[in-house]
Amino acid sequence: MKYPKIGIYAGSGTSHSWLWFVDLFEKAGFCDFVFPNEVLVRNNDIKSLDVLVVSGGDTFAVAKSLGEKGGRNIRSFVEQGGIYIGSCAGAYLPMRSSKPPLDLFNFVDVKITNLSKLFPGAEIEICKSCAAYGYDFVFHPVREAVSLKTTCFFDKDRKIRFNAPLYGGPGMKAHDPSWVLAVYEGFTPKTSFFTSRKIAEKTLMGNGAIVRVPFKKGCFYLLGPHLEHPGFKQANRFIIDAVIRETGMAYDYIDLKTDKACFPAKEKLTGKKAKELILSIRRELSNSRIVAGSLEFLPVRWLIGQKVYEPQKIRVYLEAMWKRLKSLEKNKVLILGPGLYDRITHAAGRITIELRRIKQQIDGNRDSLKTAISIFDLLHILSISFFDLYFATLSNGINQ
Amino acid sequence: MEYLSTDKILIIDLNAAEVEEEDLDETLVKEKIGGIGMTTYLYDKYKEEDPIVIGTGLLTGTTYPASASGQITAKSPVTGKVCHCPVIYKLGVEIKYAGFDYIVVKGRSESPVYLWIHDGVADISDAADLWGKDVWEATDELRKFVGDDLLQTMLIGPAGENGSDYAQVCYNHWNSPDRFGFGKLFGSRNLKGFAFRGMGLIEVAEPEDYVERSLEILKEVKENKFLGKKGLAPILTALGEEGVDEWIDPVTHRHSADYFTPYASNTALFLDEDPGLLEESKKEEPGVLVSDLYALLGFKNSGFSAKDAGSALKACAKYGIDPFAVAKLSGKTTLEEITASFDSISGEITIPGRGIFSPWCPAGPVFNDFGLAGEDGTIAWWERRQAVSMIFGIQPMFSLMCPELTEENMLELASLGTDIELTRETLDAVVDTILG
Amino acid sequence: MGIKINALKCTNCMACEMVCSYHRDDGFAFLSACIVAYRARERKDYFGVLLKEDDVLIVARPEGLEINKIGEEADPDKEADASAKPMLLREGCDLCEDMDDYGPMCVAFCPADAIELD
Repeated sequence: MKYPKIGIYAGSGTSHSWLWFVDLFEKAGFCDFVFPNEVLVRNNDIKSLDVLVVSGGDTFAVAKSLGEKGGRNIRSFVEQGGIYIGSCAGAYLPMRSSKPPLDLFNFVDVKITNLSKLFPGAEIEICKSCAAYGYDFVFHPVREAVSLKTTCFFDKDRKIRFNAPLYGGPGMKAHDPSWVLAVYEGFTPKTSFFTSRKIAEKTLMGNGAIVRVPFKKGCFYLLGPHLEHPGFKQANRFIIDAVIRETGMAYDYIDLKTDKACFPAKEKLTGKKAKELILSIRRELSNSRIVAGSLEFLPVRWLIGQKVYEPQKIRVYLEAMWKRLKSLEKNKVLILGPGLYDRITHAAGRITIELRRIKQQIDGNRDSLKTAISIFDLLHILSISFFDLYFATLSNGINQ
Repeated sequence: MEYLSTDKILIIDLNAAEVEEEDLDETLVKEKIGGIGMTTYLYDKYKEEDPIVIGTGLLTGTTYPASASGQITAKSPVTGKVCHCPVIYKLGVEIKYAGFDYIVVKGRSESPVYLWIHDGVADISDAADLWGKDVWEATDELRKFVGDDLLQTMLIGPAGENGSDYAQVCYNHWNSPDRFGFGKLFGSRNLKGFAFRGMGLIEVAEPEDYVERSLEILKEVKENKFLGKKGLAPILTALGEEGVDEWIDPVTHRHSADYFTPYASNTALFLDEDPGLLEESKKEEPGVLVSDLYALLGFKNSGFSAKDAGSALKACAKYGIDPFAVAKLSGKTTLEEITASFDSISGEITIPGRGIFSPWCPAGPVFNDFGLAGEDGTIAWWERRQAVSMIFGIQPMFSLMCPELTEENMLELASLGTDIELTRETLDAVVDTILG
Repeated sequence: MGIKINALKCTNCMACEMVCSYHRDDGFAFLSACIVAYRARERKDYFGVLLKEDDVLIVARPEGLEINKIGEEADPDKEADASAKPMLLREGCDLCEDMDDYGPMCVAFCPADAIELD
């Protein structure tokens, strides 16, 4: 069986939700992953992928870091038959906008329904959570689990209902109604309201929650809610089915691809060196988890770009690596790309140091924003590198 | 060893500054069960190198009531015998969850070190900055460095560094059941001590049955009337001491329990703060946590007020010296004299029976009579009870109070938890080996 | 129906934390518990219990109960302590709905009867 090659964007501007995609695809049995950052996207190292995932985060920061080149490459990737899956911030990214740098990504004719201009000013004043977007602002009427229903364009014979959490993703109106695969159908007991219920209903109900926009040989999947969230199995299944369906349709295209050499060649690490690397990762992940666990109890949060980061998110990164360490340890041969050894050991060690520093800063009521920025950058670097090591090693084990 | 275990034994060679791991073989568990059954075996295995062996019981850190305890097994520099010191509070549990069932420390380091044990990783770390610091300072500094206030420590203070006979290995900020001068032993190896933190997961073979039986046993335990009491004073009163309540009440703050232990046997005394205060004290050091019945009694009998006794206990905890030995052997009656005498404490303290279990625990039953009669029988019962408690990891003071924690149900839970059939014959054989 | 905690009865033994985590992990651990024996102020003998429900954090302190809405801004003037809004990533209390024989595990196992079903 041929697995699609999936790129999960893990560059600047993403939040931890890309880790949920890693869990989701790994559990479904996919094993061919890369984790491109903005540099790799700008260098067009995504052209060998079958699927490119852009998860949640800060849309402006993602757009800014990808820049014009990144935008051009994503467009070309989809035109050539690639499948783009954008969740939350990743869904906003290819929609039309007049505001730079989002205007570099005007790919699909899908409109946002949670825009302030659609509502009388007086009603929208009660909105607690919003962000500037062009001449208007995007507001988030609700958070947490909402209920979705598929349309006849997904399956004309039956409708499927499932829940998924909304953390700032869009409601959508598509130029062509047949693009809408699922709409927002209702709220759940867990839904928290940030506007009046009336506005929330007007903004979301009946509007697109999952939109598939055909784009030459490929397509864009835009997901308003986080269907990849680990607590929502049916929503997870929707993504997996979509990938299987789309890549199945594109198998001819996949088989024709020969350009698999975009990502650098890997080398093998065995014996004492391999053991040392694993021990070093274990040591630093443990040191970091211990501080991160104690940060859970501190009343602090950081505004980085346009997103609020809580200390708890640090643990999401660390746990994503920690829970895979045992599987990695079972492999006698580790597969590493050039420079990965140093990158992992350096980033892992730095994270421990920075986490201990931030704990002391918070305890001493000192400003900790700069350290937090550095920690989240390092966590990105480490987790990308770790997953490169992990999936390359596991694939090697499977193939032997 | 898959269940109720981390499956790992850690061997640390201080001479070579090297650490090594061994798997915990299931056949060894079938023979030695765990706790001091295993630490005694490991001590004998590395006898030539006079090791310090740290361990936890087979049930430690589970839902079995009072499964709180760990152990230090080593040769006492005071008595020359291989002795077993209980590890109490929440420290025993932390050792297991930090990733090792047993830790063997061999040799002597060239310079001061501490051992940082976390999530299955063991680091021999430089203790130059900690050497010379008292137990409180060193614990606070390690917690600050590691960035976690829940870090659990097992450290020596100046008494251990100076080679005092009654130097004690302390747990976090507090005194411990160490009556064997293990603090001196640590000091002689240039070992400031251990820091433990773990966020592991312990698998159990039959989890539903294990938890169900644990709850049934807990319900039986809770029928016992002594559980309406709390703290050290009721224990001393039950042992026949008079006037303890009146003496200690004016400085008593709250009572706390060791991990999952139904009786709260640790009493906090507020010395520099209103003992009735419910809010968090704004003072950095409002008092001291006391777990040592006989040290407290020793100061009381020397004519100390409870507040001065608390101050003396706090000074002992900081200096890392056995407060019972200080109360009994110093012959001093004021706080100033006591603290000035720390480095010159000498003499003998009586350890009942074979002298291998800490007299920190009363040498007989507490609150319940366990159907015992006659002193000879009592000491034999006490030694077996201590041995069994420290094989399974049961808080050894609580096991003297609670007849509902039987050898049968300990064996039953150990079998349910491990999927290994453990019999009374095996337990008898292990106890016989320990008692020599 | 919910969990009621009497912090003055609590002896800080961590039984609640262990059995809560067991209910989620099917093994013995502490990391996934939605109820936590607060013990970071050991030297001050200050302890209580934190309970995370779906959208609130209940802080059972010796001096009284405090209920914090999760997601509200933390008070920057307040010292970091049990009133913080921790444990956002842990699942909220579900009253051990899948443990038919026990009800909430923390209630069943609390040796000091400090936790009750309200």
